[in-house]
Amino acid sequence: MVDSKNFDTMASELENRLDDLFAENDVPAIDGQGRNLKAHYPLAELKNLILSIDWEITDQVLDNFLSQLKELRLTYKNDKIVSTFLQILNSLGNYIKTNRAKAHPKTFKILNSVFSSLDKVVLSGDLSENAKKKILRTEMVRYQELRDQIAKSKTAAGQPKKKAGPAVPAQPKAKARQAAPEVVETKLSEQPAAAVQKELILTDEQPPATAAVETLAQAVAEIKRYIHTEINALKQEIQTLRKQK
Amino acid sequence: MAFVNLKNKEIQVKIVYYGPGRGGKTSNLEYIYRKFAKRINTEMVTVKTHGDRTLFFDFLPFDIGIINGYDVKIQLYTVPGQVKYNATRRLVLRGVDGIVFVADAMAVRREKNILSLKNLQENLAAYKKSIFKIPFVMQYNKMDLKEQGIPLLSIETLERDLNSQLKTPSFPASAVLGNNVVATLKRIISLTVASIRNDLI
Repeated sequence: MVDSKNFDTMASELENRLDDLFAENDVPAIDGQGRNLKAHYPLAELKNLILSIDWEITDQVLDNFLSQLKELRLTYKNDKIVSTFLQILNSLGNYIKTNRAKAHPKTFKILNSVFSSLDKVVLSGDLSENAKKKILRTEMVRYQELRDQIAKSKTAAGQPKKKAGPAVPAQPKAKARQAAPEVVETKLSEQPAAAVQKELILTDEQPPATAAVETLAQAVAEIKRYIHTEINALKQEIQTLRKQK
Repeated sequence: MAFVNLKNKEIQVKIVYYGPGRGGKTSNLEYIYRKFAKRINTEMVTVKTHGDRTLFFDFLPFDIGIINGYDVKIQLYTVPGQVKYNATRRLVLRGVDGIVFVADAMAVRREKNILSLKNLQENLAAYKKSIFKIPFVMQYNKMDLKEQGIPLLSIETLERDLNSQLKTPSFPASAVLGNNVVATLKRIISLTVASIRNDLI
């Protein structure tokens, strides 16, 4: 809580800070038009698109978003950490594209959070590799949690098919969830980015065979449950009709 | 109410530049960005534009550092000025802490200024905020056009039209040339932070 005794101190401190920050002498404009963002800030367009998605989900915005990510993945192909961030964003983008407004509400929060961390990693030239990895690890954990929540909510809703789940694993992976942070750390230091991405991040690519089998098994079990419930309901209805007669 | 994180000692302040279309709201932010981007370490984002008009909003966030133990983060927004985008304006106003009203000093825009100010009052009311209570700075923009022989409203007329009841600090300005852009910004930040501080006590 702000102490009332500090009123004057705070006001004068603020005035001084604003004077320092916005002293107009000796500050040249960064460029004549101030428009050339891309030259000194490679994530400008991505940021623009993230805000656009936050505002309105349209095909055009999502296509631009995914193609911008593609460009950036080429630009940063030698940077494992940035590549992994971009891969997470790509997965989230594909998931949003498939599910639109039905996407899990936390998806947009995570999208913003992942971008914000990526932004920090790209802009802060003085961050150590370890600090960057720590930031990435936090986002990986959040991302993993989101995946688990989506999987759980689907199971709870009794959805028989995984129509909208390119970024959602069918199986609840408690074990993987617990191990994720350490895995990221190890992989980042030992393996190329592509390997890390394949292993840890869900993409729009085909899931591994085991996951597909599990998904199928789950779907069959759910269909069985559904048929069973329907038959029970029918039986009850027949019994009621018989009693009425 | 600003976002105040007492645990992390962080305050996020949302300031919205409001006013009629083509009045110079985006120009204000562009000047700040062009002049101080490196010093305040920020990027300006304009969401969806059509030609040179703002359809959604501009966004310029920056951190002014630790003030009295609190990390103060400022977020500057503009709204689309055109009448038809009222829903967007209302959305951008959500959670606003301070307002800069950028009036267009051109004589032909007199009515538009008044209508825009009334619109602001209505939109703030939708969030149960009073235009008389929120930190507010008035800016009379495009003063530089006088030199080009374009008829402008006098400061007295602008004050009478827009500020006779509000009685807020006001600045004649030229957003394109940068005149009084910084003075406006500094004033609204000071007023808004003071207001938040009062709420915290």
